[in-house]
Amino acid sequence: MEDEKRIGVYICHCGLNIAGTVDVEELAQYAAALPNVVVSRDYRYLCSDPGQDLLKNDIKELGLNRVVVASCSPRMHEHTFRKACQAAGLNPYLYEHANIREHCSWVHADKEQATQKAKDLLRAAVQRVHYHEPLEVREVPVNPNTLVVGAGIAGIEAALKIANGGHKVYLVEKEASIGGHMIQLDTTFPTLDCSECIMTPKMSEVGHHPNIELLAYSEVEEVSGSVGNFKVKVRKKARYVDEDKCIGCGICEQKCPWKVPSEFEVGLGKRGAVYIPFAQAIPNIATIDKDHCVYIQSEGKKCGACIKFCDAGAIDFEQRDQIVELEAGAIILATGYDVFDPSQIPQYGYRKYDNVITALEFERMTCASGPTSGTIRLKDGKTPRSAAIIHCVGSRDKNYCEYCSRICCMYALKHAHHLKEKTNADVYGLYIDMRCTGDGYEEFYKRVSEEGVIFIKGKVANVTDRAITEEEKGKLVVIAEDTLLGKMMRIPVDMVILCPAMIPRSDATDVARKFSITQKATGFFLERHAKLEPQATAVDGIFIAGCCQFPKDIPDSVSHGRAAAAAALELIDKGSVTTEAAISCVDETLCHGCGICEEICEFQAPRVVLKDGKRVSTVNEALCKGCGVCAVACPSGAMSIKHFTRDEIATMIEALTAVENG
Amino acid sequence: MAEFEPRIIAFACNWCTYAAADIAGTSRIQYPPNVRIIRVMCSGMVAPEHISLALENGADGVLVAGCHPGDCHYISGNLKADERFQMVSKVVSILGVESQRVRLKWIATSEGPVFAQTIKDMVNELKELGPSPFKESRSADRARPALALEDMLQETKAYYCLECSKCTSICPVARYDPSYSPRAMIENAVLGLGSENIHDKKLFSCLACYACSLRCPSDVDYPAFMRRTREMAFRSGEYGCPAHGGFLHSVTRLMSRSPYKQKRLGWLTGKYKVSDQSDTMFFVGCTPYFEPIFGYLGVRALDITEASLKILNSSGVEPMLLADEKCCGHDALWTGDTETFQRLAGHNTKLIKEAGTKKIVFSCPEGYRTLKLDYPAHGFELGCELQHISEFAAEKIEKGELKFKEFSKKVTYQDPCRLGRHLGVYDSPRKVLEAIPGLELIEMEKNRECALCCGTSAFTNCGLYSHEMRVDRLREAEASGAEILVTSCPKCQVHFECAMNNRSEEKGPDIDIEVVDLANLVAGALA
Repeated sequence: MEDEKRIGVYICHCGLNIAGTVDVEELAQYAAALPNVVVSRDYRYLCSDPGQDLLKNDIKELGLNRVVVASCSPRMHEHTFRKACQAAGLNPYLYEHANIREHCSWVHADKEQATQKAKDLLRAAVQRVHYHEPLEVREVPVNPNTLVVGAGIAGIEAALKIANGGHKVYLVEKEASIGGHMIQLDTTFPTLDCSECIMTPKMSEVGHHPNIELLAYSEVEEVSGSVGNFKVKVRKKARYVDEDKCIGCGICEQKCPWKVPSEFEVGLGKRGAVYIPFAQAIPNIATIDKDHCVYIQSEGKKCGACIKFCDAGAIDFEQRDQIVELEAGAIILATGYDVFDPSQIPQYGYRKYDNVITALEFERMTCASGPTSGTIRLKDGKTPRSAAIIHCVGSRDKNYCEYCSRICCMYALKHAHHLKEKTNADVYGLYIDMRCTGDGYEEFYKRVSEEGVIFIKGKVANVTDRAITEEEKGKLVVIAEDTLLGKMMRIPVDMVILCPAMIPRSDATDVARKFSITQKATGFFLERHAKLEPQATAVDGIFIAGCCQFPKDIPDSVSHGRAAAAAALELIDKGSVTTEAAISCVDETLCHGCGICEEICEFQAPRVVLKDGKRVSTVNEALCKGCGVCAVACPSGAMSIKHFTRDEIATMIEALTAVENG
Repeated sequence: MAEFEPRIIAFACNWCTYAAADIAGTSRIQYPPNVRIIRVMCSGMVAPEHISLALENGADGVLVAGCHPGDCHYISGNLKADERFQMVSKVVSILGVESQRVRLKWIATSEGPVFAQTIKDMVNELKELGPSPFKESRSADRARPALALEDMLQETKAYYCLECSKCTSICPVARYDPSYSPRAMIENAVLGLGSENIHDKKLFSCLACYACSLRCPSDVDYPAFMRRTREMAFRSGEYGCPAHGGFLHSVTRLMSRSPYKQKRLGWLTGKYKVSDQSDTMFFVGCTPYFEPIFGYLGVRALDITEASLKILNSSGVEPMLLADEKCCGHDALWTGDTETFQRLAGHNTKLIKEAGTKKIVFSCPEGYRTLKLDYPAHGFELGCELQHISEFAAEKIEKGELKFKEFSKKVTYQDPCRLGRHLGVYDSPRKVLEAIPGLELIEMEKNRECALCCGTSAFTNCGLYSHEMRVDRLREAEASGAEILVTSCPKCQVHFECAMNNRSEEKGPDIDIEVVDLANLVAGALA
């Protein structure tokens, strides 16, 4: 039996943040009179070192075995005070926290009412701390390998940082080559660096790095385990090409008689049914697209040209998908983004008019290695003499994506510049607000303005080919109000470039589910803290990088990738993780082994096993997250959740419903 | 008098709603100080009994709040919370409590203003509703007279115990859980160690099956002794490890202290003939509450009620149903909560007397026992005849008023403890079954006085012993060669179905026998 409860109560003034509204001295006196309270103090800033010392000294000198702090939110400082308890030799779980700032002094102006509420919250905390039991935090070793999912610029950066740090990385990419969206771009704003030129060295480094095991054309199937020890199943899709034999010469694609629109060229060019997506692909291995391969579709009765022409004998139609099992201590998701499909907004005429194109299509068009070898041209081959660039297509629009897609203003300026540079066309930029917030961005805007691009502040209502004047004949007419002039504009142009929003990947929900992470209302992955932990997720050990979190430009994606890498390295270098202590536990004398807990748990923590011939549930402590769902579902009361037991909650309810006079 | 200030208990999930309330604070959004937040890790951690306990304690409103669907930190805890909340809402609405008092809302981290507005809205609505009526009863319950151990030992004849241990050797709980001993309990009490019994969780393991009393050479009424000891325990805040988190007990306490008119007859359709003028009453019992609570087991408790009405109607009886009948108080009495029992018994007695009832028919043996024995023992005289539906049917069959069609099945019969050993009703259910042409009644090895209990009682402890007992009983039923196990107690059915419920990958007890209530079987076989 434990000795008598000796509770210390500490009330923080938080300067005037609490003391300005709550009578802290009265509160301290009130607490002093509660059962088993040995000492009750108030102090200006408890989170300060002298504040924590107060508590530590009392634990030692007064023999406290329970501590209650009333201060800001436990989400802010519970950890601080638990650590202080631990430093003084008290189990950190013999601590309880009352939130009298965020939930009291800051939201109630009436001093008397706020003080009364603070008393209630404190009383409940003191009553509850009686029931707390010491809990042990266990240490589990961390597997030093990291899994990075997605090999765009963010994933590549993260993988390289970790690999250069001397740790193994598994880099999984679902496409046939790494590179992501960045390798599709022509130049990068505002410096106009050639995107390929800065990206390919990184890609090549990934391809040759001794610490990186690249799994391209692969997708994660299943994830289990928890921080420090994830088990991952990856599906390595069949390329029907022997990776060890293929030398990437490209003969097969040349000889392949079946051509389909190239994904890399966003439909502007064609590729073979067997193909290498682009010249600098990593790995430089051909892939057979089974949906379009006539040999596969005819079950080997037709074609087979690639087999004939491949000198290396790399074509292997017997190849099947492979499941590769990996173990990793940390996971970084850098799955990127999709581009909003502008045909959802019919008034912009995308896919209706030939010369309405997206910004990404324009990227490929201006790119020297692209299908037009960098020539900007209309569908009929002519050079455009005028062009309109429409900003915010789908973004900043309640009907589609409410958020600002962040990078569109800048690439729109870049496209305007290239249009001017390469065609000297009349260029109109139609924007809602011009957002140029990065280093050198505003200067770039100024430069492009000076190049003669005409900017019109107005959201485009319509793009039409119905001419009402002679001048408009044969042109696309962009209709918008110039809101600065208050004048309706009809601008006849040869080419319209749409700047569509960056949107979450179409499979983001599946991915989120696989990795047990959450999404925001927008569908992007939710970070643990929007400001302080943008690279972490709610799941320990799973980090996010790049545009899967929210639209980012390249420097932000790079930083985010490196931040995720640092977080993973922190975990690896520490070498061990502590597991959640407030988890479920089973009273085997009450358990029937019905398995309701097993069925309800999302983390496979409880399992019914046979013990001495009896069916009984056991909790895998490494998997349990402490959500308590099983404890509530258990019909016999065998399952309970530590730190949130029935008695603990019941005593809080009782304390908080009591209405005192005064 | 100062304006009424409602008190709201909000269960807020750590990751979303608690954080939203923090954001409301950081943004200095003012809202009324009526709310008291209890931080839970997940809204899925909020149990039905937490909500009912808050109501019992006089909370004017209860808010359960968590992450929006899809945003749960634990993937789907909020969806589980929603499922349970729907169940609790149904129960609360049957109790007649205004729906505005109990609320579920999704509030995301960023929605500080939504949190503040939710509290403002709730406060305004609750002010309009007025204070929770449970507040007053809570303070009234505080002072309870203490029981004298001495009196209790006299009353139950525990002093006469010979320590022969026949009770322990016949006790089904002791058979499956050797650490439990009725003899030791009595011995402790007689030696003046009553407080050890009180704080022993096993005190709540006794099934009150009366197997022991029938064997005791000194006529010690062990179940009564245990019930009186539980009274003392209850007063010291002990309640064992109640099954289903004690939610059913909490609902009973709420019902006993509730001024609300229940909505317990919502299921009643024109299909059944009932009459307010009838001098025969049908005691519906707990089935309207069991329906939502035990839906997850696939038990449709109201089917038993409906079947009973069909039997009554077929015999030409159009019974009266009480719109505001309350729990009979059986579970309250047997868990030591006499205060609640007295309130319920008082309420029901008054209604029954006002109705001028001459006869009450029960489908539940617990209600039957309680009104027949415990009401008069506590001074609640009903002054009318009481009958279990099996007795009613047996009588009608004898008079030739109930006719059956062919039903060729082998069945066996479970004697519920309350109907059998408590009240000695063994023959009527068997007569009824045998009257059905084609039906073959096979007895299990242990039957009548020797029948094995269904394993748990009054929703108190429901440990491994209870499960094993049920499994053994079901196996016995299966071994008899019967296709159907007939019981005549809705709780037996719930407990048996629970024992057969296996949701784990590990193979469960391989039992496959249909459990059917006598009323359902009889109603289905009516010509």
